[in-house]
Amino acid sequence: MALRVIWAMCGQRNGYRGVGKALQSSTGKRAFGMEYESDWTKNRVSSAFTAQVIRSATSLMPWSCKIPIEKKRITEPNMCLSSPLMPDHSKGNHRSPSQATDEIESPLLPGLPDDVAKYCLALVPRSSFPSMGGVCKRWRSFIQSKEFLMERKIAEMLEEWLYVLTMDSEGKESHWEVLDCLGQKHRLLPPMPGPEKVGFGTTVLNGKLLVLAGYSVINGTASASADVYQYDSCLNCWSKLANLNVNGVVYVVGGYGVEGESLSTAEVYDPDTDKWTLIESLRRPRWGCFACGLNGKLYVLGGRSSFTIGNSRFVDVYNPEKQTWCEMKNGCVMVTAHAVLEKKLFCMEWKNQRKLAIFNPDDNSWKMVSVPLTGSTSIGFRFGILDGKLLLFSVEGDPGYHTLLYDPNAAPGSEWQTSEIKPSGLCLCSVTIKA
Amino acid sequence: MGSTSTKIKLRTSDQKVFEVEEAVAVQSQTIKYFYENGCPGSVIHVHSVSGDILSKILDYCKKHVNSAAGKEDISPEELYEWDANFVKVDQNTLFDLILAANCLKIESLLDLTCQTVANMIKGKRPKEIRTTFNIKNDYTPEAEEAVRRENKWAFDMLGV
Repeated sequence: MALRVIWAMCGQRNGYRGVGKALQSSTGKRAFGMEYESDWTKNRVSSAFTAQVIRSATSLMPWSCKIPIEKKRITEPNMCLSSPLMPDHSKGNHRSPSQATDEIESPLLPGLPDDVAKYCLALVPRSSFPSMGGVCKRWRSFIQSKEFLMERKIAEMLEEWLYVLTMDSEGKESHWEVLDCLGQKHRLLPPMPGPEKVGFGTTVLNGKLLVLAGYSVINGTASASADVYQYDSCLNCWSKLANLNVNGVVYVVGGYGVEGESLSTAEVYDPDTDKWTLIESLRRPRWGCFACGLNGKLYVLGGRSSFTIGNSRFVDVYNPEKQTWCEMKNGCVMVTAHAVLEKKLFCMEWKNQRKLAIFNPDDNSWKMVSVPLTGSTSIGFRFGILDGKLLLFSVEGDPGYHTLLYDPNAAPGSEWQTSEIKPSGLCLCSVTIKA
Repeated sequence: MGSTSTKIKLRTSDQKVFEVEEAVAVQSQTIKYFYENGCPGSVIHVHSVSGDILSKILDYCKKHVNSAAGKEDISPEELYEWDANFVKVDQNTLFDLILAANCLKIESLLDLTCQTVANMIKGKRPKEIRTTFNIKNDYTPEAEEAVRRENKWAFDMLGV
């Protein structure tokens, strides 16, 4: 006849927030045994007692963490009887998620447990993030976090935006611009800090755009740079990260050293520690190359190496698990554009701007696909990716050019279409960031 | 237990007792769990939810159950409209609804109420957000100015 205190299964990420969901199923009979039960059966909740439960719960369970509650917690009623996540109308003002964490940091949304508040924030459209970052420090650090991206993903709220580095037709000024998921609105990004650079690498990590290395031209003298800048696509701001050692996970391979020597070094960047670590070097110094990740391996293609005359057809492949390099001999040369889409690498070679070369890492095969005639004189392309489709932007800013779109999943014969998506100037490079 | 006429008794934090149709009550995954695993005929004590809030929540569940079962002739647009009116409440009530939906595990209601909070954030300046939700500004004036300057572009984007 004892009062049954049952602790609801919770904590799993099944759409519900928070961990404290307590309910009682009562037979209406008097309870025995545990001291707190009499409070419930006598229909009288002692607020002092409740407060004690809140304290004991928070001292044992950090509410800010997501802990899957196991069934064994049913046997720990002192943690389960009352939940700090619940409104307590008998006292009115006992909403704050925990006293312990309150002292360290205030709740994201006063009156709601952080888990629920995080879900609310994740439901706001992406264009409001920079403004949300200005609310308070906690909001800002949450919006910058990997956890926030994960919340957005779970809530199916990720919006895909295309970032394009464009240059005006005189080739004087370049700037990053962003097109929203429909490719419609053009907005300028704040200018990239540091001296203007060319030849840099770009990659996307946790909703952030990294612009790596390259060289800057100051007063006509080119100098290689080890600077790394990060653009936070949520907060719309740039920051400077740790310099390359010479050069996570971002891999940076080859290139030039500050003295102009070609490099065989490879480094890996860990965003959690903002540190670069050297890994096993390439078999040969290589520069002008590019790299991409496919099936959990790193592929380095193109450019030149000091062991080959002219352009290198070698593909260097790094296996992060085994920490070893191997090579293939069937790579593309003089690649002017590349992008990874659906676990395949799309390349365009300088000598043949009318063909896409598509690499399938599953069988190391290349497939060639002809690019249709566009009716314009434009022949140089840069690739962009939006909504699972490959976009071909003109590098010449030809006003008569309509952006070509290649849909790898379209019915045979209709893979090629044109798209309204078009950068405001000529395209130097582009990345797609989901947030 | 499958009969729709079966009633489940719920007792709230302020000791109000509700007799609720099974189909309506089990919209709450938590109540469903207790109902299926508890003693038949027992009162389920929803001690984290007040009578006022539970009454609202049961209205919501009833509306959605009836609409899904075709008992009520209501178009999806009309239901959407009904939901929109349902969450037109003061902020305290909204937060109570969120907490209750979370505790009772009523996913659609949690989504609806949290989206309402998100809509209150959307397109607002930081200051307006702070006022709305009573959030303390812990930026120094200098840091706030820096954030504001940094986000000038972003605010232009929003048109705010």
